[in-house]
Amino acid sequence: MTAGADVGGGSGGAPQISLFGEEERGAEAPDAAAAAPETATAGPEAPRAAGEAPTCDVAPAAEVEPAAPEPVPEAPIAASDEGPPGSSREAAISVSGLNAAARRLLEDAFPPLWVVGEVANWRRVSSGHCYFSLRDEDAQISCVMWRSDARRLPTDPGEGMEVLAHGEVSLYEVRGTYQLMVRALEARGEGLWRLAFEQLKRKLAAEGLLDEARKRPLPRVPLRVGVVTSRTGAALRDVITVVRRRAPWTRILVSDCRVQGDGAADEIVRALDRLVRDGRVEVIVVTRGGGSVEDLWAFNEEPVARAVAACPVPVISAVGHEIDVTITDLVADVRAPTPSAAGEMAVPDGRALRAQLTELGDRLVSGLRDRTRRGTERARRAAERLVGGMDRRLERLEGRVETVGGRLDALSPLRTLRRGYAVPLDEEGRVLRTVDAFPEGGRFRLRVVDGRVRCAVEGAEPIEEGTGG
Amino acid sequence: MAEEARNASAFEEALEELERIVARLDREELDLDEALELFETGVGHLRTASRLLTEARGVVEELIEAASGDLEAVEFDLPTDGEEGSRGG
Repeated sequence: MTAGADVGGGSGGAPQISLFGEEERGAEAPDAAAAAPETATAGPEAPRAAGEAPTCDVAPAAEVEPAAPEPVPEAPIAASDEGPPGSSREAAISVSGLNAAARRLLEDAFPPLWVVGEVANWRRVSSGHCYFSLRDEDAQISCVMWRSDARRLPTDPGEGMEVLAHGEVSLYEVRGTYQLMVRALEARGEGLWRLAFEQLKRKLAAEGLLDEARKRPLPRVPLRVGVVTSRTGAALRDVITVVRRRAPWTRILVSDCRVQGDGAADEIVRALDRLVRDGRVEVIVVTRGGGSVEDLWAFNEEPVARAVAACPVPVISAVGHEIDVTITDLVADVRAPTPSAAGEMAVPDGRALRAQLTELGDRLVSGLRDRTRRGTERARRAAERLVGGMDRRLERLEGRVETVGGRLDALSPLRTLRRGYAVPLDEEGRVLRTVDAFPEGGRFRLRVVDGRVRCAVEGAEPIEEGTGG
Repeated sequence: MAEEARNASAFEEALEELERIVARLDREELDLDEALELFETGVGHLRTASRLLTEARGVVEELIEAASGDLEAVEFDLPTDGEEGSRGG
């Protein structure tokens, strides 16, 4: 009503020219007609009326207007010979004419606009179109959102949800109802994306798919890593760069997919499936770089979440920037904040790994050295052979691992004996370590570098703590 | 390919076995024979682990599905840092 006053009063000047100038607005008609075929019956009528009897109807006036956009009409309903339409019994206008004129008036009067209100009676019919009302405490308006627009919604808004609807005011001529044709709908506050996210999260959590207990440990040293992402994306480059730097021996298997837009979710699922069917990789990185909520949305879709949850190979998810958490991140075994971080989690650092091998080699040697101190001749030979063999083998190892060989030689029990040490052994070849093991008159052998010495004990006394060495 | 998959777990196994052996040599009182046997096994694992890292080929491949549904891994060329723009974001 207020709007109507605006049209009649305030907008007789330039603004209205521009409104009428936008006659291409008629291009929207097919959309509307497709959804509500009944309007088609009203449509053809107008041009016909316009052609044959410019005097009888309101619609012609409106139709004719764009042909001569210069003069601004005083009122959208043009006068006729019998006076303004509807001004007399003779000039009575048809219902169709009235509705068409009213529709035009409404459409011309309002530019596309944002409306705030609460959603009521949301219905998404089988064709995909959505019908609902927007209301506040005192009023409501019928709304329609065509399939092509509604499909962009992450989820249906709930009853009573406060939303911002962007669209055009119009009138459905068949029923004479005034309505808002909504092109975009946003929830206020948390937002529809958030709602869809929470809905799916709740659903998956109820099924236990987000449980910590489901998270599998990543392989420590995977030799094959799969990457599900766009083959042209920066995310892939980041992952490859990091993996190559840390663990250059790793084979990377890329499974390409679109990571945003229509159909991206399906492609991600298929890309994951390819790696699973191939069966070689031991860990999979699912990733894409940063983007808007909408860009990242495929990773919040249920099919992707389920495919990741069902993946027999551990999955590292790195979608968007650190602050973006997607359902895929929650379902994956590990979430990485960035693609590069995913690369770091996927493979060990090569230098650390080699250092670890070296250390294990060292401990192996020192462990053996302690035992061979009480070694028999047979054992000594075995140790010598092993150590010698180890030397040769280790020469072929890369980097620091090689040095183990050198240390093995230095630490070999034979070398110790060569330095002048001797090992006392009993009859069974056990090392005699303390004075208790040397009873007076007892016999034992001394193992020296080139043989054994038979010995007898004349006497043995302990060295006082701190008085000798 | 099954063989390569085994290689991977072989590496992990070798590393874990090696850790177990070192821990036993460090902690337990073992017969010399037993110690030598462990040492020999440990050297074998050390060798296996090193060899797997050295011999594994670090290539990047793309997994492609043919119309028949067969999967094929083909070489994937990653642009070097200098030409990264050529591939787009």
